[in-house]
Amino acid sequence: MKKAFSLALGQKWTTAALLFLAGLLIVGLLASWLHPFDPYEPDYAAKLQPPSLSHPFGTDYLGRDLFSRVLAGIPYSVFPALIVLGLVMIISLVLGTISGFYGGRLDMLLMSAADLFTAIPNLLLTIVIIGFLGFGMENVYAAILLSWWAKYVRIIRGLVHDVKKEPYMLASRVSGSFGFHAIRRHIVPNMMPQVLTLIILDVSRVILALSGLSFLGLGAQPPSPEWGVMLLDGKNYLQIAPWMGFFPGLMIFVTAVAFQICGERLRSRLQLN
Amino acid sequence: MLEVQKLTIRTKDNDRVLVRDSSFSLGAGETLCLIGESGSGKTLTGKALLGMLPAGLRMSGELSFGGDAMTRYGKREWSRVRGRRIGVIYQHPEQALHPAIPIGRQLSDLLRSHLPVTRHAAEVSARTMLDKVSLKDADRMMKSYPFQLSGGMNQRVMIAMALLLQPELLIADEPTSALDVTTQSEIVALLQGLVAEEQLSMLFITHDLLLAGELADTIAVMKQGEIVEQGTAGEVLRRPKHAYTKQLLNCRSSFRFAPEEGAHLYVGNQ
Amino acid sequence: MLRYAVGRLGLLLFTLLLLTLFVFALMRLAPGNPAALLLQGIGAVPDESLIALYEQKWGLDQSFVQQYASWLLELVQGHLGRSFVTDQPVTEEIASRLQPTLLLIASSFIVTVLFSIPLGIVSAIRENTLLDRVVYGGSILGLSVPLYWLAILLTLGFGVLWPLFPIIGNGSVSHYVLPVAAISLVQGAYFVRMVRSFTLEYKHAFFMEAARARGLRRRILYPSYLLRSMLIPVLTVIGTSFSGFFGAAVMIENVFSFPGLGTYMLDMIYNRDYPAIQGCSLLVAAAIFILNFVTDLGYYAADRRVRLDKQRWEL
Repeated sequence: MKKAFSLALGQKWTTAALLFLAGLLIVGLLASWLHPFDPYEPDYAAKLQPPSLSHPFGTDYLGRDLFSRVLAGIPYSVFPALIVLGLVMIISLVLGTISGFYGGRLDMLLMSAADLFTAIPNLLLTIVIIGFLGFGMENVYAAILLSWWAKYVRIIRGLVHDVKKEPYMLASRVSGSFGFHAIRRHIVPNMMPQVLTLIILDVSRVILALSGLSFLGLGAQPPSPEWGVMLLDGKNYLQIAPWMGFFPGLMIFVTAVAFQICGERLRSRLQLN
Repeated sequence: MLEVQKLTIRTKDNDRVLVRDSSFSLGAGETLCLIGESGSGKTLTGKALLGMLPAGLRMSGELSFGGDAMTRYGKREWSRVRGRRIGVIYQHPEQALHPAIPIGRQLSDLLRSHLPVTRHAAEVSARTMLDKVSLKDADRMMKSYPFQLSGGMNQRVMIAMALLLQPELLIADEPTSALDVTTQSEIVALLQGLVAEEQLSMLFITHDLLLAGELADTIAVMKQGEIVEQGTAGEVLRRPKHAYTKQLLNCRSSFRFAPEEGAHLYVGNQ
Repeated sequence: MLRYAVGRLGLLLFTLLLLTLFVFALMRLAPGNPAALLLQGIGAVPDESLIALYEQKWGLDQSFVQQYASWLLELVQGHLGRSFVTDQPVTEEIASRLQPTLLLIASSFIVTVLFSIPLGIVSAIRENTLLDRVVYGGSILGLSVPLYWLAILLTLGFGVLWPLFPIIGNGSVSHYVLPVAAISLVQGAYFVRMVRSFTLEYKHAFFMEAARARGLRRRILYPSYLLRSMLIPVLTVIGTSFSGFFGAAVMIENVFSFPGLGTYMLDMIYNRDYPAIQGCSLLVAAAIFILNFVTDLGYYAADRRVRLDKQRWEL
């Protein structure tokens, strides 16, 4: 019955998305050996050139090859999202499990804090944090962490409550092996598939958020080849050199779509809501 | 009146057989009890008779109802049969009623779906029908929502709804299994009375052999998608031939509550 | 209902108080001496006497509790303090920037709701048809497209290559077309997605199947039986969308150099204008809290009847 709910994405789309992401990962790791031109060194002779064979994405206002910059930007644009979400997952696994497993006053405190942070718009929180603590990537990551942990702590707390009700948990309670052991052996492994699916579904949102912050000038700063920064450059040359903004944005878009497709596929596999 | 021949239901993707070659017939004014544990295919048989098999299933065989071949029905024909010539009641009436629409409105919507009547006329017949299923204070009932009524009351509302258009056949899918014992016998008595009064044919789906003995003219026992034994109620209950029927008769007392309660525990809907 | 409303209102006030504390504490965590920063900002050399003077002027030399209390007292009276940069009351500065932003958000909200809720419902009713597949695919794209990039593409297409609409500033209705289109497309993807999946859930709910089994006409079934159960899900989607609209507005204002609250906030960050940042963020957060409060009340009023979580889907 549930199957009918989610339109199955074709296998070929998922395969394409996975291949793209795998390629992105490899190129991202090897970026410094792969790009044809130096992504940072200006070449005023070649500035603002439209896409051509030697410069497939064109060049920017300093004559830097955009294709090289886009490749060099992978580690700055995609990897941070994964790292931040990994951190979010670890933090909320700890807090959510404690909150759901032990309950009590700590649980109440955590949940009201989570309520507060869920209610504040993510971007507003980021603006406030960067506004007061200043520019810098560590503040951006802190802001993203602060605005995402609440959602996951809640979800994980709910999952812990569900698992606690399972008959085998009752058995472990009776046999006295209730506590850290139960958490490690039963609770965490049981909810990992769901948590991971949700995390993967959120990767695109975090990628968009991070590059968006750079685009607003709050995140990565020039001359970083982070895609949001490149887009910001591109915005100013919209009328003369539209390719400057087009290709970095396209990369963000395609990457986000690929993660979204994988997340959707996982979700319909696990038949989650 | 209803003739089912070699009804077979299978899944589309891997051809798993859920109901195999089941044949039975039901005359006007008769009651047939379809007995089996959950998962035996009895509910699917009921759905097939309404043309409402889930999307992943297909059926073969002959279904004839009042002389026409239901297997050749299109959308339009089905919509003239459902509710109009065949009524249904379920195990969980409060889930079969819309939670946010008053009961009177749901009754009159049904009437207006099938007959060209005004809302007012529809409401009058709805009220009469509520009286007929012995619901007191029909006016208040018309304005109530399902969550305000007890299980037994909701089941009476369902019966009123199923019989509102004076159908020829009533399909009752475990209508008493979720009720407590007292309410159960009240509902059974009500159904018996209405069946006799309206000359109604009834397909009663249950896992309860004794209840079947009380209601049925004929009994068909289903096991894993196949009808393993069928005959008049007296024959089947007094001289069961198939080992499975004997087994059912023997453990009836403990059987009564167990399977339906347990059946959904591990389905894992959210 | 009244009891619920009062309780919920208490919670709202408590959250607001927590929020003020959070914002205020953050300011104290800020690195560097704000007075010194301020002086640097206006090009003066921050020597100690000047810093002391400025600290006194802005009350920066008092204790945390004192500062918080006096600030809160001012706040309750509607004073958000004076801008470090322009020396104008923040309240006035915000007021002059508020209207374009509100207009932008309100019109995007209306456009989004008007096209995406019907689209989500129709797509779910026509499940697995071509239309549904297109809508589903479109919503995945919409959820993944960077809003600022979409806005740039729209500008390029309809402002530069085919100059139908102005691409900068505000003033006339046509200035709003591209920003509203960009926001509505992205927010609409989220709406369509949620509404579609809620509609599917209700469409397959047992009460709908039972209604079909009694031959209820489609003309009654979908408009009345299905839509009536959609009230709560739609409220939920709307209730969770306000932050998204705000975020989208900030991005879009930046792309279109729109003189609204979003561009103001960004300017104030560059200038490290603490009172202005505080004022804006408190105002926006409070507005969103209040909107959530209102949706919660609506939700509560409608909730008593339509609850799906206890229902079983299968016979």
